[in-house]
Amino acid sequence: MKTQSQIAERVLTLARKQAEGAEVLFQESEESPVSFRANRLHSMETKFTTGVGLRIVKDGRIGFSCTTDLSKIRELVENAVESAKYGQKAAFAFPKKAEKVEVEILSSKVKAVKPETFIEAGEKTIAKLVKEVPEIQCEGRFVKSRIKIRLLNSNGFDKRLERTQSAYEIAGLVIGKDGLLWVGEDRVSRDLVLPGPKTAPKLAERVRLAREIVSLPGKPLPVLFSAEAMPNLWYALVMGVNGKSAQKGSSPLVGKTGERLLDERVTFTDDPTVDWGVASSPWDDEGVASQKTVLFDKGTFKGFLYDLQTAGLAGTKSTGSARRSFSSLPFPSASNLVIKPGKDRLADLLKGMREGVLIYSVIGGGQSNLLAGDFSLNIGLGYKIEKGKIAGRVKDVMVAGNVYALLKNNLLALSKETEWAGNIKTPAVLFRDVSIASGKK
Amino acid sequence: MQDKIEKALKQADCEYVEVHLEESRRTSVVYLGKELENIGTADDVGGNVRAFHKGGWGFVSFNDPKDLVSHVREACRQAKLVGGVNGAGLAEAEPIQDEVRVKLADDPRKVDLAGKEALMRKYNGLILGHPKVQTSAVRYEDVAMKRTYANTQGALIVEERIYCGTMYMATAKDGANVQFSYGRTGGTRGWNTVLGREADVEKITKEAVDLLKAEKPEAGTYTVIADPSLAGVFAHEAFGHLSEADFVYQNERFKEIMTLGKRFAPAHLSILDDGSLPGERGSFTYDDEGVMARKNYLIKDGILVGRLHSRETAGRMKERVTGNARAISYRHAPIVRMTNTYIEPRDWSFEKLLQDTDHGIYAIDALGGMTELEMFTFSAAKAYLIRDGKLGPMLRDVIISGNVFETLKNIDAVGNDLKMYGGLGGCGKGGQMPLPVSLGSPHIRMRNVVIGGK
Repeated sequence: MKTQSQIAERVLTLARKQAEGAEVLFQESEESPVSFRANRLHSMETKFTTGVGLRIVKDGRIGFSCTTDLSKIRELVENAVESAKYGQKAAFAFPKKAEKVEVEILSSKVKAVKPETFIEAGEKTIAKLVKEVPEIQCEGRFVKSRIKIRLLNSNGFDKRLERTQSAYEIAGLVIGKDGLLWVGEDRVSRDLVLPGPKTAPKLAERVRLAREIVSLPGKPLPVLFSAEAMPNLWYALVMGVNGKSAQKGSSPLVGKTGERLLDERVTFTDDPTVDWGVASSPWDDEGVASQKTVLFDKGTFKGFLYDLQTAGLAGTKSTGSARRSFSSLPFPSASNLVIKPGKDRLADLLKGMREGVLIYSVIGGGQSNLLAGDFSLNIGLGYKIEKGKIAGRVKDVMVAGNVYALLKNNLLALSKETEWAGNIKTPAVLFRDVSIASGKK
Repeated sequence: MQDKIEKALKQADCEYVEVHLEESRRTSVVYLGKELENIGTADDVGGNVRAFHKGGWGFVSFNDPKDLVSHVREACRQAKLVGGVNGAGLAEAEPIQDEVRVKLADDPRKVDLAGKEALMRKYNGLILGHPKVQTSAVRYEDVAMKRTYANTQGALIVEERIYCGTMYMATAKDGANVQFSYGRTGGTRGWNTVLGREADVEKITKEAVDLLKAEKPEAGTYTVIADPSLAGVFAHEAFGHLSEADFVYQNERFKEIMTLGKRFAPAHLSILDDGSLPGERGSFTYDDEGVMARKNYLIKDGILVGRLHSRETAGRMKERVTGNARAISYRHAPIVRMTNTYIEPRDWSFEKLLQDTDHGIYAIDALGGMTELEMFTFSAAKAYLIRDGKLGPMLRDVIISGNVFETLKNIDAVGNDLKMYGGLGGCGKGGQMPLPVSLGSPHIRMRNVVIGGK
């Protein structure tokens, strides 16, 4: 470990001889997945990764290379120098230091957890689910990981970081006459996450409620996107606020800073400083201190997420949004996204629907232009609601619309309850009229 | 290195253990619009140990091979922890010792970065030179790798592979109407593969612009002539994945449907997967379990005759190995995958096929789509109406959907013009993407195809 990390210093020294600026990202990680297939434990794995990425600025241009072969440091530097001949003009200077930001990212529980715990949790959950739904075929995956990073640059920045991550997914497949039904649950965090006693009953209940397939009237209906399904729509905004899309001019938000674009109940924040958030970190992947960035404040668009290069090109400051591994150049990207909850209880929102659709999952995007906000999604698991109750499953149905338009003019309510779905903490969201099309004649 | 592997394998204390080591060097050039987005070369070395015991697998991957012995022990420990008493064994595979070196007259490694950048800049310029084009994407990639494989049954294989390919896309825009078209080529033939694409780049650029004025089809049931690319996508996506044994053995209903010996299509239809085809993107000599790539008929003369296996699935189903266990890199354990999947050519020329079709749609290439068991939906990249045996106006948003088993029966003519497509992307499955594959077909004609539209 000690000698390996010293390699980072050697790379920097070698690179500085050839370039006016250099930055080295050294990464060591260990990831241990346990997988279940066809209701049974199938495999256990451990993946060790060690790699180093070198970004240089030579004659004002950016060069990059990476390697996992620590015996080929000279080639690494040569490759970066060669690529700098063609690279983009650098519009930034490497940071000298990062302000101190306190955030929990290293979990002793994740460090200590044994694969046996994952095996037991998986077997228990699957057994319970199979008992309630005998024909179900379950797949499962539990992963714990640990990553150590050292970032240093030619402006004197030299910091180390260690962080953990834990994730699981349980997915059950029921094959019926009407095709497939997938139900599932997944969680990811820097702290330990495991399925609970409610996981299997919840999924079994979803299968039972889906036994009967009901048809929908051919007209727009109110649609309640659960917290699990909502990220599919938030992604449009996530793409839109990306400083890279702004730089390319492809984001529909270009030139709209300060405008009220969404319903005033929508407040949407990028926050890498949430304790245990899956994308939390005290500084970003090029050493800029993490900060909370409000993207939409009561519906008003506040600005884009930038890394150093895109901020430099836009004539502004980095928001600490550089993401990368050792094997790529940094690019701006959202960290954890937190959406402000509403005032209504989820149960009340459901009860209040006379006729509508509740969506838990969608499959596949179409060829729609999500960056522009357009979506058309096949409903994977969704139910028709009649007089506040689930009437049956809807299948071969597509929901379509524009995310910006829905969030501006068509928002009925956001639930009080929020859930983490990947890196997005969101309430369930109820829309007034959403266009729905049946795929089958 | 080989001594080290042999020494480490001696530490194995479970049913079966294998070791992979891999070194690769990847060079890429990416243009997005006017900007050179990415350029450079990167090295990757690493390996893995995979262990099997009574139906359970253990797997350790790493970059630094110095702890190989402890990785072997750890993988065995994992396999024993996972394996049950009743696990099925692995299918027989001859332990092979071989060295496969690549000698390319046209090795892409002999071309410097400047040469690669200049070629992509030229293609990019051809696209951006068109006044109606909004933006472009042009990519080049070559990968040279050396893989070493050994197992406790005595196999020891060293194999080199060199991939080289390019992909180019034009986006045309008129108000809110955005259309694009793309082309690609890629394989294991060398630098030659990416040269001389000017005419094709200009063709796809013109097509993107023409698509702005193309009409949407009337929804309905049509006779469709599929071009070699779309027909290849059909063979791979709609049918090929159902032939992967890890899908079949876990699924009672499909075990019954996919019974070998059953008639699936007319006698003029054969679909095969052949990793031993020379020069294609999905070609290799040995798969990631040391099994030699071979020609596997899936459908022969209309009859279902085979499926694709790893040693694990072949063992479970008591069938023979097929050489289809593949991983995208040393970071992953191999799973059942396709290689080069295609429809075998017959005797119809495209001209004759067209003349023989009174009314229908000529659908070209697929932009994407989805499959759910036997149901599939593909979006053709572009299409033409066929009237009285001649190509009519251009169409866009042609969405083809159907049931694969019905569609196979409705293929009433197979052309003589087999063409394979490699490109730069590949197939995704089980979190492993992109795996290099090729697909292809001659032109084929399908009756009673449902087309969505107006």
